[in-house]
Amino acid sequence: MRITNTMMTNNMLLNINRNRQTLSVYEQQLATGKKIQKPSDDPIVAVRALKFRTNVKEIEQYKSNAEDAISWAGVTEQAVTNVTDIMKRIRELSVQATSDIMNIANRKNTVDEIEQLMDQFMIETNTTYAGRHVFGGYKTNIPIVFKEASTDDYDLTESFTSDDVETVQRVVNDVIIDVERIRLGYKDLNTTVDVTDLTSLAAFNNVNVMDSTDPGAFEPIVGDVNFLADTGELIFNSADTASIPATFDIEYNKNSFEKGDLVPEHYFTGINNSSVPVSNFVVNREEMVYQVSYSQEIVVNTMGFDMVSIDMARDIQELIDTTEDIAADSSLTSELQEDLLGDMFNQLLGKMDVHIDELLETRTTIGGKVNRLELIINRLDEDSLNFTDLLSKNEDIDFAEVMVKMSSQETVYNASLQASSKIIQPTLLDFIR
Amino acid sequence: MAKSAFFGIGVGQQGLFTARTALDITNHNIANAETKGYSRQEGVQVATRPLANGPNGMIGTGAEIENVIQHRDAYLDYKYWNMVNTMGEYEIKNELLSQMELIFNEPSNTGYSTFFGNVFTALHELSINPSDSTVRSNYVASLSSFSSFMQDMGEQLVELQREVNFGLKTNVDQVNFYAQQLSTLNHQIGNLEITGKSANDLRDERNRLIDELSKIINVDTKELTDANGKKTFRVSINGQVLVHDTVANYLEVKPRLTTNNPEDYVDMYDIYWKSGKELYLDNDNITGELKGYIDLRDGNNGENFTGEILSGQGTTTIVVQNPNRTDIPQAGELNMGDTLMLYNSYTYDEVNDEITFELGAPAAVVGGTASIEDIDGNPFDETILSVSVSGDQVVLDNPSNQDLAPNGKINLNGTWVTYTGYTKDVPAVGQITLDIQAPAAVDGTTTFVGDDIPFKGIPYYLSQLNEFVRTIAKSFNALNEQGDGGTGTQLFTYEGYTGVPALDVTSDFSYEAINIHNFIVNEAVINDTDLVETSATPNHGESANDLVLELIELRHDSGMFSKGEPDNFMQSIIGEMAIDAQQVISFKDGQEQLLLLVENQRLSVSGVDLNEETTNMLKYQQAYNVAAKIISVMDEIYDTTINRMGV
Repeated sequence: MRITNTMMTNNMLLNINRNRQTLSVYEQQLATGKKIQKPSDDPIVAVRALKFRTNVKEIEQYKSNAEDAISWAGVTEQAVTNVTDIMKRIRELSVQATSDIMNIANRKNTVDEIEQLMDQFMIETNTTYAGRHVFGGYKTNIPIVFKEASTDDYDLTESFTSDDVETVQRVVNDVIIDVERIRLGYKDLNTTVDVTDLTSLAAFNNVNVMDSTDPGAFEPIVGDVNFLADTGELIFNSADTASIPATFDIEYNKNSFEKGDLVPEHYFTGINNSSVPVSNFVVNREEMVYQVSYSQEIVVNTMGFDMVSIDMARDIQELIDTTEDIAADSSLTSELQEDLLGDMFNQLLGKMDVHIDELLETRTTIGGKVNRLELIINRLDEDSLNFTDLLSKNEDIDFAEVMVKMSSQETVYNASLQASSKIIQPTLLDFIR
Repeated sequence: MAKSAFFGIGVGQQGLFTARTALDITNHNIANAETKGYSRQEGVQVATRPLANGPNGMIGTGAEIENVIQHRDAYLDYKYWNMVNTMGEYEIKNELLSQMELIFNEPSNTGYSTFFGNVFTALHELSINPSDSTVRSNYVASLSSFSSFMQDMGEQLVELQREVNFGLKTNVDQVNFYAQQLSTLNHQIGNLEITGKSANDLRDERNRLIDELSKIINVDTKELTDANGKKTFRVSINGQVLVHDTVANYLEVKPRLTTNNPEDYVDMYDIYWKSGKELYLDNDNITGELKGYIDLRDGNNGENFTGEILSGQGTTTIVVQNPNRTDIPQAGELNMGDTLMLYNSYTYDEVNDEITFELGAPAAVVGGTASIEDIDGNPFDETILSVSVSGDQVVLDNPSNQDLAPNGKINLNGTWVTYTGYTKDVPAVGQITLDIQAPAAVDGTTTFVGDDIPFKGIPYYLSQLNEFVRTIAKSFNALNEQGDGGTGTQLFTYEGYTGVPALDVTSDFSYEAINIHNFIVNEAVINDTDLVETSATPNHGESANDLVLELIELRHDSGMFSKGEPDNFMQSIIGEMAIDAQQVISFKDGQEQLLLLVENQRLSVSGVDLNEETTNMLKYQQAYNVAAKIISVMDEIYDTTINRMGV
């Protein structure tokens, strides 16, 4: 075959160019630290790089969600702990305040302290995280208890079962009698009440709206129900208790709330007539769900009613009222009354113990949640590490390897240049004469 | 027979001339050693006719250069031309696919994945802080940047398509330029070769032009010799003559009246012969840079509109069932049984999956004027007409020319309508009736719009991206619309959306109004971020996040696309492009190697070897020197004979 000059230069140029291209690939790899510069360099690496990046980013996101959930749960846990402590302290102080060895001044101090504790109780139940009330369910903009007295007008519907009827003692005409009552969510109600669920039944004829101080307030005749607006109670004749239906609703109205009263939105179904526009509300278990891992969700919030129930609120109220009564006055109207107060006080202490147990249980649940979240974060940390490692293995170069390849390629390139320079320089002419 | 006294001088002179000519040829070779397309020449040296020297045999009379030939192998040229067009195609594809990769810009921190990921980061934030207005704004902003990014990517793809279209036009201009040069060269070669000798250098130049032309498009060449020995050179494209001897047929580009693919930018060029006919480029038979441009510009992966004609043959209303897609432009050209007919509107019946095309003229054009073109878009010589439309017929009153093209199109009030035939009034009193209905017997056949081009070009990627944004828009809207007891608004709409026809999440067709160019976040949501719904239940409280969680789940909804989750969809698009680009690169590299091999084979035959020429130079120089010596020897013997003898 004839080998002509252009052939040689063509070959030479192609080879030099190819060597340079390879060199340029290594150079780019070293400069960027990446195996590929564009998808066509290696489509599989490119697509996997996209997947891993998405994974890593998602894991980081989940981690951030889980950390936020832990913060939320931490704030919640602290609030529950504080409320528990407050409850314990109130119980303790109540016992002290009613103790015979205290004088009036001491008792008053103790009652004052209880009131201050109730202020603290209000602050704890209204705990916020990032400006949101943690116990508010979805309604995080509404506090759990009133921060100050309010005259907002609410129509409330409260549901009861026949089991809610309890027997309590009252002193009527210097005699202690058993009273069958249902305790409503609040005291100091307005006089409008709708107990159609009861009065529509044959067993009940009448609803008498009255105050606890009215005569016969605690002794309705058979077939009558007494609605005591000041104490928020429904009083039944003991003969009627068997006729009370399994479930029934009572609708009532309230427009005077004291500081520390539960905010109805979080506990009842009803209408807030004072909000603009008038708002309907229902109470539900409103779970705030965070996604903390691939299709793994966690409920981060604790509902207000899981911490402070309506019963608990009224029991505390009654305990404080009773304590105040006992503490304030050593010359009670009658011995009977005194005895009764003592009994009630003891009963309430028992109930407080139950509530404190409930609080501890809530606290345990939150603690469990925090533990679980910590485990999840640990797992996510590991996942993050794994995926980052995969990501790097997929697209990052091994510097040592590329350096070695590049220097060997340099040698090849230099050799090709040298060979070319040797080949194209001389012609026959150089050797003639 | 007695020899001339100066016979020896004569032979010596022949020797001088011959050596001199051979040196000239060598000189020419050396001078053209680096000339592109040059093939080395060689003098054909022969002994001149001998003289009979009486009974003592023949005596030689010297030598001459009888002809100058070139070393060239037509087979290798043919092989080169066949390969260089594949090379041209892959070079163009490589260049354009690299640009597409840059547009997609992955993997990087500025590609779709970042913007799409940001939407979900914002959603996670929102799921944790559903009531925080800054978080809402941030989420809406992430949606906006996502839509702007997609729009921008669409814009860049369309810009690339425009550039490709321009590249195609440049290609056509180049073909014309080569055609013009070839015809000129043919003229010069014809004139020079009247002597019967080969015009070597001009032929080299002609072959070089074919080299260049072949890179653009595959051509056939043929050199015919007639009975008188006159040679005619012909170049043809796909069987159609580009240059025949000294006559060149030029090409031109005309913008398409309708788009081939719904994603196309308007004014895409089709190639026509200047004489009028369309240059029909059978996609399977062409290669070269033109093919590269066409594939990238029109490549739809074979997903052009097709459907089966249910009814409508012989009328102007065509019902097509089972269409493969419904996002087609409002006006286009329907191919029915190999007849192309323009449609001016269509409606889609989503329940029965049927499209109804209207081929007819706009309602009742009476009076007015119309212009007529033949099917290739050449205006028909016709003066102003008065027209009226009735049903399936267009009636022209008093046309100046009674003989129209057998089929073509007529412009009625700005709307082009195809006619498939016409009848003259009998007796011809000045009315022509055009038939504008679909051909007969096409019911049950397959109809299509545009061409089926299997390559994954710009229209393919645009259509994929359209599907992506439509589906994303629909899925996000569906969830947001559930908000607040089903009163939520749309998160995504399109530019110019008026609410009619409404975007309806139960109708895929309604969402086909959205494409990558008009995909935007609902203005109302940008202005009022409270329209971002976080809960399906009304008055559910500010911290309810059920809808946000469902939106987050969308990212892992493997039923969202046929290719799986949204990320899988985009990854597979990028993967497809990367694989195509990689394949093109490896084809190009392979072709480069093959081409070099053929080129070297050609150079082995035709190339100038300087060592060889140096040898020749010395050889002929010596021959010249010795011939000169002969003359001087002859001179001496004449001196001896004339001056010294017999004196």
